[in-house]
Amino acid sequence: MKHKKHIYKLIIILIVTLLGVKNGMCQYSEYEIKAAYIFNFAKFIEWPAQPTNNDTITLVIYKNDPFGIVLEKTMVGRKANGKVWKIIRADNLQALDNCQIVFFSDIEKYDLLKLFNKLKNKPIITIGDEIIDFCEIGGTINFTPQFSEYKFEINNEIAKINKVIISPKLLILAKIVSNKEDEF
Amino acid sequence: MSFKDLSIRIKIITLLGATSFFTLLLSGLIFYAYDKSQYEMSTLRELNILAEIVGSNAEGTIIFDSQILANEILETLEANKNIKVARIYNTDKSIFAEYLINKSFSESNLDFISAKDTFAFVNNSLLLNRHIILDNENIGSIYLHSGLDDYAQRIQNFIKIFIIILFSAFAIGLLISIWLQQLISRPIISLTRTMQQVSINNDFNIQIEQESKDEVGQLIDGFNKMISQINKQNLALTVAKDEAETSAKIKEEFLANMSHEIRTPMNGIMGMVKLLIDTPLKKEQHKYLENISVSAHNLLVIINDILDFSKIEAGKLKFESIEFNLFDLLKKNELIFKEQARNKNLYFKINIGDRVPEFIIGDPTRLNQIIINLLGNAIKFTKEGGVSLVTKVLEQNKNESKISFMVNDTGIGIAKDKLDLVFSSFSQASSDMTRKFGGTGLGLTISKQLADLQGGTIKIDSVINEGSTFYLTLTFKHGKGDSIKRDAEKFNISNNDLEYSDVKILLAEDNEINQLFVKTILKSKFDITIAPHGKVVLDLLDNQMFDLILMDLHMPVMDGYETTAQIRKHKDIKKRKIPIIAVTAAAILGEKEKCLNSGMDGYLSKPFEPQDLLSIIVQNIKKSITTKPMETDMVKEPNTKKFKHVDLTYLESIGDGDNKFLNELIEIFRNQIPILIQQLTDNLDKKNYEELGAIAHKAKSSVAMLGIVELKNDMEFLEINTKNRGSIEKYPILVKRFIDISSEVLKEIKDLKF
Repeated sequence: MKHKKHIYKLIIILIVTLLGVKNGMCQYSEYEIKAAYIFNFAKFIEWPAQPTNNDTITLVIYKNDPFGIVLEKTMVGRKANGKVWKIIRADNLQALDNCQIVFFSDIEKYDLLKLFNKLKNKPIITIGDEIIDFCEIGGTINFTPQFSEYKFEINNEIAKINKVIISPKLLILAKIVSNKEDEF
Repeated sequence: MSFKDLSIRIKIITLLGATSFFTLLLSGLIFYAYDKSQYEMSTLRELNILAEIVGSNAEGTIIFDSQILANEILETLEANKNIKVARIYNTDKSIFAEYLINKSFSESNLDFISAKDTFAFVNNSLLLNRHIILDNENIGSIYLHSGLDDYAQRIQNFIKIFIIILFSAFAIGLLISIWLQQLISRPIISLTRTMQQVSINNDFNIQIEQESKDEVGQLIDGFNKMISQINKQNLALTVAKDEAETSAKIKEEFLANMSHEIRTPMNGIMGMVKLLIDTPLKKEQHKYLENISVSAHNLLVIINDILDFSKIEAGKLKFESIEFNLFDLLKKNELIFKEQARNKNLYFKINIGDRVPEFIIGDPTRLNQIIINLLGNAIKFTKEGGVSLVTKVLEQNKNESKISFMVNDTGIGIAKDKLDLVFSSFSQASSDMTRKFGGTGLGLTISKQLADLQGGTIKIDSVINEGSTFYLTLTFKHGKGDSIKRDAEKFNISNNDLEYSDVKILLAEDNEINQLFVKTILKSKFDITIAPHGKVVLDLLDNQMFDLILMDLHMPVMDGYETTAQIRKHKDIKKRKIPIIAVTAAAILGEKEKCLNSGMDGYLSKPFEPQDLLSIIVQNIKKSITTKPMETDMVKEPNTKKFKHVDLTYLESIGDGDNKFLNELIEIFRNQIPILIQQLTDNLDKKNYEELGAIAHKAKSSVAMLGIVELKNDMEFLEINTKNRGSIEKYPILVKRFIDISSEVLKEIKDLKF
């Protein structure tokens, strides 16, 4: 599935390049773009004030890391809303305690449900990497697959429960998704 | 007509109207400018907010590269119809999203995008560019183009309302100013009208009501004071003028009366003397009578001078403008003054210049008066030498001549510093002059004024003890000569010895001396009846017919005017037409016109010469009875034409129709000539030149009497030169000529009888 995606992309890049159309987006790789998106999401999200570390956004890449060095290239040394980025790669729940964003890629639905349950009522934004029903089962933001109508989807209800405010400016760009109660 | 000349009413209305108009206009313009800036500011503020909102809303779309959404956001601007164009630009100035109010709308202000937030009002639009900043990072810019159609509409409405306000306010202002201007202009206009009334009607008895105490009130007050002052002065002046006029009239009447009162007895005296002189008298008595005559004549001259002077002073002197013979006038004076000069042993010469016209138009009486005065003075103030009158033309054109009459004497002269004084009233060169030479001192003053009034001049040149020269300069129009000849014919008739014994003349005269005088003159020629006053005249007319009436104007019972009026209304038509001649001593201005207007045919002023009386009678009876002037001319002709040397004009003029006197004179001359020839020859032979001069003097007056000009001049030359033995070689020639010519003359007058 992942390979297929890459092939599509290559074909598109080829066509666009052949047509001579300049398109900045096309110069970046998928995860470079996603890293940039995550970076920009932070600008439209407001976390409740913490006792410590108010000038840091801690991003946790949970278990599977599709970014590699791209994430550091995008985030390190730059500020979003005046805050510096701290990137943690983790595979246990303790690491999630003091973070603001958790990124999931290629994870089992069952694991997610367990995690969402754990993270419930914590001011943490969860971001899924094209995970089916990510938002429906309690995730906050989920990248949609290529050529979708929206580039990402958001479950604002979860964000509200978790006391994290997502700007309408961001919301208008997303496919808004609600909880599927029956799934729980 | 400039604004300055407009009525004060219009000025004030214009002033107020213009002030309110411009005030309104200015306030309108200021309001417009303020409103525009307010509108622009608020528009700008609103557009800024809009850009802020839209830009802010679009932040995400830019960051997450969602052009579709960005376009959707921009499309929300559709609600605001003023927004024509909205664009979101990327940081590289490429269009990220765009909204156009309609597709055909083309936008040309692309250059407007710049690095800064900016705005501009261009072409009735507001352009605004605003950067979109997210997290201190410029992520693009938003551009809005807002049409100001709203404002244009607003301005249109504003202008409509403003014009309505402007004109209604202006109209109201005008009405108010029309009403208010009365406060200022009404008193001024009423003042002006009153002043016009004053100047048109000369009515100074006007006062204007004073309504206020401002400047106009003060003006009216001043005007009232001034006009009442003028009114007072006018009344005083009128009274003074009336008094002056009354006194002038009294003076004039006094003068007229005096002249009448003086002339009447003078006429009597002179008339009686003239008659008395013809009666048999002792030589001594004759001399006394002549003295009386001369004195009376002098007195008359003085009276005439005074009358003339008062007439000139009163500005009542008028000049005739008739044609006359200048040569005759000068020759007549030559005869008179030559005689006077001879009596004083002086020479007298008269010279008429080549171009001097014979017939001229002017007042001969006044010209004669001036010349007589100048010549009389010249002779009066000259003891030796003589007097000359030189007439010449100074300037001449086809119609008129400027003639100079130069009277030169070798008399006592006048000192340079006294030259100006001679023409002033009542003064002679010195006061002892009056004692030595007599006279009123009015002569030259009158002459000078007569010359001035006729547009001429009199000037004087004099060296003391050497003599004086008076220059009289007058301009005359040229005459034709015809009218003079006719007058001359009349004169000849009157000079004639025609008998009018069948002509009946009625004399109305109350003064017995004058009755006698007239009767004596006329009785030999006419049938004379005398009436002492007008009533008698009318009674006489009822029973008989007269050919002419001599009417004294001032008579008791019925005066001349009344009598004339009655005669002109007489029941007998023939008697109505009888010629009436006024005879009066009241020689005042207007009397002659009054007589002629009241129906009289002629006018004779006392005292008169017999010749004047005869002349005027003949002229008037000629109109009523037929005479034969041709025959009378025939009788006259031979006397003047058959002589080579002799000219009887002078003799006839002094003879005055007295043929007996003339015949005697001629007889004396016939007898005298041989004696004179003998005496001249004897004295020339004996070289007794003194005696020769004396004889020449005697001979000169004799030949002058007969008008033998050549001999007269010869004898004069002889008389003058023998005094200092000058030109002795010429004496024999002159004596020889005298013998030759006088012998011829004797033959000429051998049969001459008047």
